[in-house]
Amino acid sequence: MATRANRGRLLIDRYDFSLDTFAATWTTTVEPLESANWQSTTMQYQPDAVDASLTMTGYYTGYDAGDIYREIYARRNTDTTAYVAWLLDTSALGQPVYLLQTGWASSITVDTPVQSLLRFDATFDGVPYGGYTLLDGQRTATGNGTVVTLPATGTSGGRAFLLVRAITGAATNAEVHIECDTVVGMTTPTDIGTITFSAVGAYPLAIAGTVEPYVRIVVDDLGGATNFTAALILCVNGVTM
Amino acid sequence: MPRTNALQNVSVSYNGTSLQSHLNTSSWNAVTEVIETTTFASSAMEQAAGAASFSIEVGGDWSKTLDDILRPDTISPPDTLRTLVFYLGPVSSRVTYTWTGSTTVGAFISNYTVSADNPMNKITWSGTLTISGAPVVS
Repeated sequence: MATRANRGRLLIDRYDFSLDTFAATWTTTVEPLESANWQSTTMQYQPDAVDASLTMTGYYTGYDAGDIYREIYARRNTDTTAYVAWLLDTSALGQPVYLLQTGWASSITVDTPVQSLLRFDATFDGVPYGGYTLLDGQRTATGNGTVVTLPATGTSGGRAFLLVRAITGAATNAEVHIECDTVVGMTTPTDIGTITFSAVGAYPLAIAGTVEPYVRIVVDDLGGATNFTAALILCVNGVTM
Repeated sequence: MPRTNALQNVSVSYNGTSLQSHLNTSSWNAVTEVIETTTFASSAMEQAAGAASFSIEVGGDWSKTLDDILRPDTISPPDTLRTLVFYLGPVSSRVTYTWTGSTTVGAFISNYTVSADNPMNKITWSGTLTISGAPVVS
């Protein structure tokens, strides 16, 4: 069954630009390295390392701080790299996400047609990650999140990314952690990592060891805030990437 | 001679999982390297056949199911190449090409693109399966 394109979400660091974006393309390229030998009867190849990019098309909405064009332009030619994520289907949790860590805008093209809206294309390059959404929205209280099922158990860790895009009130050391279990009921969950934050922004978390196939986020502490809005993306080596 | 519809008569299996229900286009390429053998004695350009190479271009509607199959290998290419099976034709007159995965024979995804061009339409995908070594034809 086809997936509708209008369920996507584009996150760049603390910003959600979904309402100003209408197209995106994720590309991974692996160069085939020729590896034929004197006994080869046909060409042989081995894969090189992956090269990834995310190209998006957005509407020009102005040049104030927080406007899509301004924020992307600010991430061009800078040492302050960005986290850029495409959540492909926000209709439910546990859906695929493609994320670039240390992303930077390698090109921006502004189209100025006479009889159309002002819009622009931007391409981000960076280190690719693939994962699932464990959270995408507002949390107003502590407690367990929805259990998400991974395709398999991971044995070599991974990485999580918390992209906090809004906080109502002031948060001081708000805390979430991720836990996993072998059963969907999460009867004996294992804590695989904690993220603490006090402001909007992107927070990566390195995860080591085994990641069992049932996972969820747990909000431990709002840090005094009324609520926060964020996306948590879990990437597991050998399972989701 | 009978003609053959593409529907239900083309399939690609990657790493043991059929991609048939995720494909609406495929292009199988068998290319032979050209070795130039022209000399001063030649009256025209001369070539000899070199090594063969294979690849398959694939694409279709994107889904989580499809992405779960391909995503890990697109981000972390495998050290051991993947088993690939490609067939053409109905059961009664089918040709099947099989590359059994090893360190020298098999396939990997050398290009994977997920695209949402129109917010009122669907997400699509396309990819290139680069193949190493010779197939077993049956």
